[in-house]
Amino acid sequence: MSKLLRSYSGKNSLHLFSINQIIPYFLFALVLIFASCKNSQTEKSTQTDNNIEPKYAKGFNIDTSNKKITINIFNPWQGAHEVVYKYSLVNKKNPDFNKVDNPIPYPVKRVICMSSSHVAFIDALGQSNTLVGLSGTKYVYNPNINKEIDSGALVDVGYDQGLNYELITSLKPDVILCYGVSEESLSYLNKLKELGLHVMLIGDYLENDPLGKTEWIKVFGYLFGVPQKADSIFNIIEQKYNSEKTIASKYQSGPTVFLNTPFRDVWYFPGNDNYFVKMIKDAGGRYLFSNLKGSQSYPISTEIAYKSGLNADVWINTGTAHSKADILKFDPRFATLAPFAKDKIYNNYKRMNKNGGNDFWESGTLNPHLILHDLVTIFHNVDVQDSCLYYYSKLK
Amino acid sequence: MKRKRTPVLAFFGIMGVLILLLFVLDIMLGSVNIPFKDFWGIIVGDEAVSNVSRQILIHFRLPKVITAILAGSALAVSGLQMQTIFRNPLAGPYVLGISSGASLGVAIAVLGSSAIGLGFWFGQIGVVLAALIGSMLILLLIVAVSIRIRDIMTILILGIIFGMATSAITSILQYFSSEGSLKTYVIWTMGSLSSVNGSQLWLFSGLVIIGQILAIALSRPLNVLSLGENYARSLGYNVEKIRLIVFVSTSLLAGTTTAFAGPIAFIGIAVPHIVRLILHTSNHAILIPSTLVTGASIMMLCDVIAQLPGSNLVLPINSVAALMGIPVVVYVILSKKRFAQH
Repeated sequence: MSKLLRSYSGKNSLHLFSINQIIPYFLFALVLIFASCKNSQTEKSTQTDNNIEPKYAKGFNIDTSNKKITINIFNPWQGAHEVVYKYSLVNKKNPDFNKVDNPIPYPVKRVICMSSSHVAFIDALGQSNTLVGLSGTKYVYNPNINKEIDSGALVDVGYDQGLNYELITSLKPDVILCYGVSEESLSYLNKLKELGLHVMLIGDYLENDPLGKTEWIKVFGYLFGVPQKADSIFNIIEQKYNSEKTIASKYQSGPTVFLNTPFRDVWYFPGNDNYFVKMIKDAGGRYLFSNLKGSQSYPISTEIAYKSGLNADVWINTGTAHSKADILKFDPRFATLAPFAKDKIYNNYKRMNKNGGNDFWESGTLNPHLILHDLVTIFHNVDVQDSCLYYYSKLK
Repeated sequence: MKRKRTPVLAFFGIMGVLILLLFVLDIMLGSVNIPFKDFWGIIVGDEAVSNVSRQILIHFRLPKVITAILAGSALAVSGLQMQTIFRNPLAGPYVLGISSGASLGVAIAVLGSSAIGLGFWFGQIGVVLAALIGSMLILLLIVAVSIRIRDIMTILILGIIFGMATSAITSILQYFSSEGSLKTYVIWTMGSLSSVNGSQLWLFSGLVIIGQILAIALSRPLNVLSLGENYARSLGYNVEKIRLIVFVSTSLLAGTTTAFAGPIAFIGIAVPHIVRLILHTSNHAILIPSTLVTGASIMMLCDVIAQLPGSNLVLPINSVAALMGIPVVVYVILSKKRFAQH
């Protein structure tokens, strides 16, 4: 078995900790402290123009000039063109609070979230106690958040068009973090604004780069007043992701990768710029539909999909199919696909709660390095045990 | 009938050739380009045909074409039956609420788990069963009503009302369901001919054939019924009993088709009119078989168009059928007078 197959069990990692291993981290921390001191000095000198441009994300930037924090969100729904939302983070007691564009009380203390990926960011920043409302509490995987739900401190506020506006108002949130699926979804945002609530659009799911999605933690960092913590979390993940990528690049030839399951006779395959396709490539896999341009998904006829899948090496993300028998229930013809016969079908359903809430969609945005590790493991090993994988499981 | 009739034999001769042609066309054309020599090779039993071609032709195209024939003929014949029974040119296979019943069944199966924690998603066959049960339950309701109520218009109105009630429940389920299952449901409502596979095809064709036999056996009583219920009664026919058998036949035809291929609109309304326009007859002994073959061939034509030959895409069959059928329905509405004369 390859050395890649590291265990994620917490017990093991505790045993492995020793003074020798802590020293490099300690030194690294020292370097960080010095670096950050140096940064703050330079920040002071260039206070006039202080835009924080993200390294990978395209959907936001943060302007911290003149001691004000403005978060600019770009094109926050699919198909949006040259749309900019400016959110000003202002202390509630500040007399100018209502004079700025889209004011958000700073730092936020009571938050309502519409997306589970936001929950992962908030928890990573240690701010899960600020959550007061959530859309779809029964699908939450995160144990910290589930504790809040069980204690009643965190309630379900309903879904998109079925939001419980009265409940939301009574929760007195500082900010409601939303995502826009289309321009039409603005209608419910406007309704919330009419109620005097502060709404912010988060576009992490629209990013086409895996690390670009993760980089949105910086926005959350500013909202909660902990930007350094967000930065350091992001930097660690970035470094882990890239080292995983380096490991994958050492393999000579990668497997051909087949994706998804059909909705009746139509398969949706993402285009070449899609973040997941990028991860397949970063993991050293060869995506079978690399001829599809852009980041959107294309409906492909079952025939074409079947023809490609017939000789694929690996098949991943089989949706609601959690076993080979499930696949046959979809369509018995899939038994003739090569990955089916070779037992190389994997799905991201390892971490699911009893209601079907999947941690892959919840914390996957925060943990692209773990997804990449899973993919590298699956792509470059003959026999993979489930214990070596974090989000994925083999279909049996 | 003053106009000259198109000779029935010539009609069937032409339809026979057309069906054969469309059959070959529908099997040959699709997203994956399959050379004619592979097609021929499989027919004559050549072992050298590539595996890809063989798999696609035998496991994808053939069941799909057979589904098109079964679905097209079933919907067209049940549409004809409904138009005669209700003596309404815009009646179709779904006026009794059969598709709404099937939709509710599928909605409970697909959306139920995420909406009310009651679903039982077990793949394709689960959807088929749910749709069958849904449409049969609606049929039972209609039958129960039609035993007590003699007025056919009341039954028509009740059918529509039942349909509305099931749609309302379906909407509630949609409203509370998750995005993934909602998508599965919406795609189901768009109809599909290619998700029926080999083993299901036996059940599908068996049920449709029983429905068709019933329909053909009913052609004489339907002729009499089309002249008015009172006239039929005066001739000694048991109108309620005929109705009941017609309802069973229609629900076997339309209910099964909806279960396997999803709701496909307009074929059922348009095809009987096309046949009447060509043959100028109201004799069901001729109308039913000609509607059957015309329905089958028009469905295959719709499928050829839906495949968008040469592209990677497939259009939803329901939309193609609607676009083909709507002009016919518009024509019928505009020339309603002429229909009344038949």
